[in-house]
Amino acid sequence: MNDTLHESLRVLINEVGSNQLADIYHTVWGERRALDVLPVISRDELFGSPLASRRYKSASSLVKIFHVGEKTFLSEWAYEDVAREQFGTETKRPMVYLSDNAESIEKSMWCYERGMVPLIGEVHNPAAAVAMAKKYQIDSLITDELSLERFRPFFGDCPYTLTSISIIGPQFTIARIQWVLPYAKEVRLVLTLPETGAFARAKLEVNPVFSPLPRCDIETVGETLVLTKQDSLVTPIIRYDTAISSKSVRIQNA
Amino acid sequence: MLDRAGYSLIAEKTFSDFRSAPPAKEDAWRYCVRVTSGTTGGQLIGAVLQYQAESVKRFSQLRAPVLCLGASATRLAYNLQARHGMPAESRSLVLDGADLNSELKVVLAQYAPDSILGFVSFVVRVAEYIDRETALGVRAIILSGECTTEAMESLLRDTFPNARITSRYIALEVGRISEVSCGFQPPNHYHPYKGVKVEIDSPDESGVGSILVSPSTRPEVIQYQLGDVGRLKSEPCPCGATEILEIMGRNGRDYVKLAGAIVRREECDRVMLSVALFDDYRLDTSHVILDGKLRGKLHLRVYRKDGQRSPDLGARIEKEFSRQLYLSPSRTLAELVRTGDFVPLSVTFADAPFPIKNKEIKILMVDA
Repeated sequence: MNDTLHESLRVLINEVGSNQLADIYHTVWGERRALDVLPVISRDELFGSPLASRRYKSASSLVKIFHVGEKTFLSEWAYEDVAREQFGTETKRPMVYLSDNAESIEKSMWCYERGMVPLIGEVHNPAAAVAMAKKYQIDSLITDELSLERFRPFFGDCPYTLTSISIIGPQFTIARIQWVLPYAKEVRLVLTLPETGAFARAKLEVNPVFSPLPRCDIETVGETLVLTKQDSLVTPIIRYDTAISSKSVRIQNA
Repeated sequence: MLDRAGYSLIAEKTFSDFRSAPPAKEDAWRYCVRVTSGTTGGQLIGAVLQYQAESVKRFSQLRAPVLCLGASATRLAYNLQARHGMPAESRSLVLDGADLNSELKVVLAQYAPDSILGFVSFVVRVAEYIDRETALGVRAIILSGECTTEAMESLLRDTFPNARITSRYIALEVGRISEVSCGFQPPNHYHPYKGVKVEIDSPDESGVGSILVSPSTRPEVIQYQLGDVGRLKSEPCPCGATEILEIMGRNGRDYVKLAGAIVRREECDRVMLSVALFDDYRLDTSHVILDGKLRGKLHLRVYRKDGQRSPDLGARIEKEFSRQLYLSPSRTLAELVRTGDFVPLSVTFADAPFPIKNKEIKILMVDA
C-alpha cells in the first residue's frame, strides 16, 4: 500500500470509528484505530448486526438480501458506490445473467448508473434468456459460473465475438468455464461477494492470478482472504473476513 | 383492431431501432428492454419501455418500498423507476420468492418498509412474514398486474391497518390503462386513465367481452387486444368518474394466479383426459383465509354425459385430479394441500352440459 492510499484509509478508519450514525465498528474496534491492530471482522459480526448499526451514510440506495447457507443477511449499497464498482466493461448492449435475483438487479443497476441499458436474463428461463440475448445482439455479458453453463446454447450459433464476458463470484472452477474463451475478446474473472462488491480481477486462464482492484487491499490472515475497501460505503469493508480460502485463489499484490 | 401479431410487428420495429441506436448515457435510465409473452404461450416479443418523468412520479412519496414482482425484467423496471422517482436518501428492496423464509421477518424489521408494491399474490405471501410492528409502519400498498379478490384485500387490510391500498390496471405493452383505484369500487374495477380509450369487443348479453385499448401516447397502437376480458359500464362513481371498467381475467381464462401458484386451463384439460372420469368441467378458483393465512381453493364442477354420479365417484375424481394437477413446475395440488397452501379440492356434479359463452371459460375466479 502506498502512502497516499494509506493516508486515505487512515482517514476512512477515523471517520468510521467516530461515526455518529452507526457503531458496529466502534463496538468491535474499541479505541483502536491503527490499521495493523484493527481486528478482523467476520460476516456474522458485521452483517449479523442490525442494519441501522452499520449504516454509515444515508444515500439513495439498493438494499439486497443475500443468503449464506441457512442464514439471511441485508446489504445496503448506495447507487453512487454501485457505480464505482468494476463488475464488467462498458459496452452498448450488455446483458446481466446471474443465478441470484438481488445480484441481477444490482448488476443491472450498475449498468444504468454507467449509462448503459442492460438486458436482464430470467434466471429460471435460460431458453428465453438466450433468445432475447440474440434478439438484443448483446455485446457483453456479466454472469456467474452456474448461469454461464445455462447460457451456453447462446454461443452455439453466435455469429460474432462478444466484447467481454465478466464471470463474477467468490471462486471459480476453471475447468468448467474455460470453454467460453473463444467467444469473447476478453474473459475476466471478478472476485465478488454480495456484501463487498468486486475486489480482484484476473484473466481467464488455466492458473489465473488475481490483481486487487483499485482501492482494494487484500491480506491473507490464517488461511482466508481479508479485504479492506478504501471507499466510504454505506457499510464500509475494513479488515473483513471474506471466508474465501487463500488456497483457492492466487492473489498478486502490488 | 390490433391483435398480438400486429403488436409484435410494431414492437419488433421499435426494438430493432433501439438496438441500432442506444440512447445517450444520461438518458439510459429512461429505457428498459425486455421480453414479453410468458403465460400466454405466444411468441417472445422484444419490447422497449420508455419512462417519462410522469412514470416515476408514483414513487415520489415513498422512502423505503419493498418490491414484490415476478419476472426479473419487471423487478428491474420498477426498481429503476423507484431509483429515479423517490426522494434523495431513499432505499428500495427487491424481493424474490426464495427470500420467503423464517428469517425474512427479521430482515424486514431491520429494513422498516414504508410501502409495498407489486403483484397481490406475492404481497399476501409477504404478509405472512412480517411482524406486527413492522406492518404498522407500512403506509401504502400499491398493487398491479393481477386480479385481486375480496379475501386478499381483507387479509392485507388486517395485516397492514395503516396502509392505503390502491391498485392500477397496467399492461406491459401499452403502459397505464386505468387511474389509481379510487376506493369507492370493489376490487378489479377501475376508471380508464385519461388519454386511454377503452372499448369492449363483441360483448355478450351481460356486456362482457375482450378489452381493447387505444392509448393516445402511442398513436400506432389502436384498439389493441390485451387478452383480458371485462365489462365497461357508463355510470357515475362517487369519486366523479363516469366510466367503470371491470376486469374479469384472461381471455378464455387460460390461466388464473392463485395463492402463489398458477392454475392453467391447458393443464386442467390434460388432467381431465388423463383421469377419464368426466366429460367436461368448470373450475371455480378463490382464496380463503384460514388461521390468518391466505390459501387457494378449487371447486371442480364436472359433467358426465352418462349422468353417472355417486359419492365414491366424486371421491375418486377429487383424489386423482388433485394427484395429477400441477400448479407449479414441480408441485401438484395434492402436495400444495399437504403444505397448507391450498385447501382440499371439492367436487360436485352438474346436471346439464355447461353453456358456452365468452369463448368457453372453464376456469373462473370467484370470491369465496
